[in-house]
Amino acid sequence: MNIQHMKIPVKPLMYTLYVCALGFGTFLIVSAEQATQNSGALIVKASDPAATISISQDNHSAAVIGVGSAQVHMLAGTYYVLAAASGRKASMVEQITAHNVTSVYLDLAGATPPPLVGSVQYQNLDSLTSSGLSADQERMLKRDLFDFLPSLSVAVLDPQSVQPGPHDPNSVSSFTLNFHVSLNNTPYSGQIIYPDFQSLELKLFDASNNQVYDSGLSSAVL
Amino acid sequence: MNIINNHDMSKKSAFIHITIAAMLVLVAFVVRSNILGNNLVTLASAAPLTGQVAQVLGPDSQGSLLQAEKDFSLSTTYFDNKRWAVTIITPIGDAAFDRGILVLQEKENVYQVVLGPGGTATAGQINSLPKDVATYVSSIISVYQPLPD
Repeated sequence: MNIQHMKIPVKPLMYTLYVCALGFGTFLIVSAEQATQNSGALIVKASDPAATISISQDNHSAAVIGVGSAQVHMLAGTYYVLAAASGRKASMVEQITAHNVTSVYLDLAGATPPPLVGSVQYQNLDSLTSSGLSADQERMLKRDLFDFLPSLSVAVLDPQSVQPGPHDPNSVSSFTLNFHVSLNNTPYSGQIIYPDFQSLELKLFDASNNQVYDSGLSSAVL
Repeated sequence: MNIINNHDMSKKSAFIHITIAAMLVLVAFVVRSNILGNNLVTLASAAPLTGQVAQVLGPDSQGSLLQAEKDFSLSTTYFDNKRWAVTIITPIGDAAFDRGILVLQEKENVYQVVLGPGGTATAGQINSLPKDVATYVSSIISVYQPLPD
């Protein structure tokens, strides 16, 4: 048996090893360089020094970046920043851009509630309850207005405009109420149709009298 | 004897080359670490909503956030062209929280928490959601009417 023929070719293996090592090392350095080119800084401070500060991104995991305050570099993108302490939470959506510093202050004492019907300012809706709507129906109306316009912040009903529609007391038919309402300063005409005091249908019409919304007849969820 | 010496030389030479190559990679790691600094945070890809859920569940006793498919699993239903999402959070293993839901709304291209996490909600909270979301949520959690003050 000829041992020489079994000798492993060291030189080609050595070259391959060096090429792989250099290639991998170059990749590590170049990718790091690219990451820093596309990163920005985020400085977060929470009102509570014990608050855990974390970030997340859609379709990504989350990470704790500090307690009370944090200063990190992150890849450019949109992040959900949250501070939590003792059951209280405050959050913000922040856009991180390359080479820029973004500062955030999260006030847990005055934590902004999520967008809910309750956070909308409704004015003069009581004039509808004075005209026959139940409290449940008023709540459903608020929900329908919010459903029509999720960005709703102020809804002002013109109490002078509330007019009951025709109703025949000798037949089983729905009641109607017509009114004018301003939603975020845009005027609409509204019509409420209700066969009883547990359900309601809201129709909204724009200034050109085109119907822009119909909630359909719905009952109170509870 | 020559054959044995050649074999030893070859092993020694290979060890030296491997060590040099490993040193090159190590140096690259050190350079990378210096470039990135200690505070570059990168988030790994994950299933939708897992990051937001981990955030609101909060850290464990070690200060680390819970992980999807290790500490909890999600079952998500979307509404209104994915503008709203209701996800049922189920604990896995010894995770120290109960099964509950989280309601999220997509705003500014990010899903933001609107309600939860939890297994109960007030009637007012439920009725504050869009109708289809409210109907679904009220069918899977306990809804209560708080006593007036």
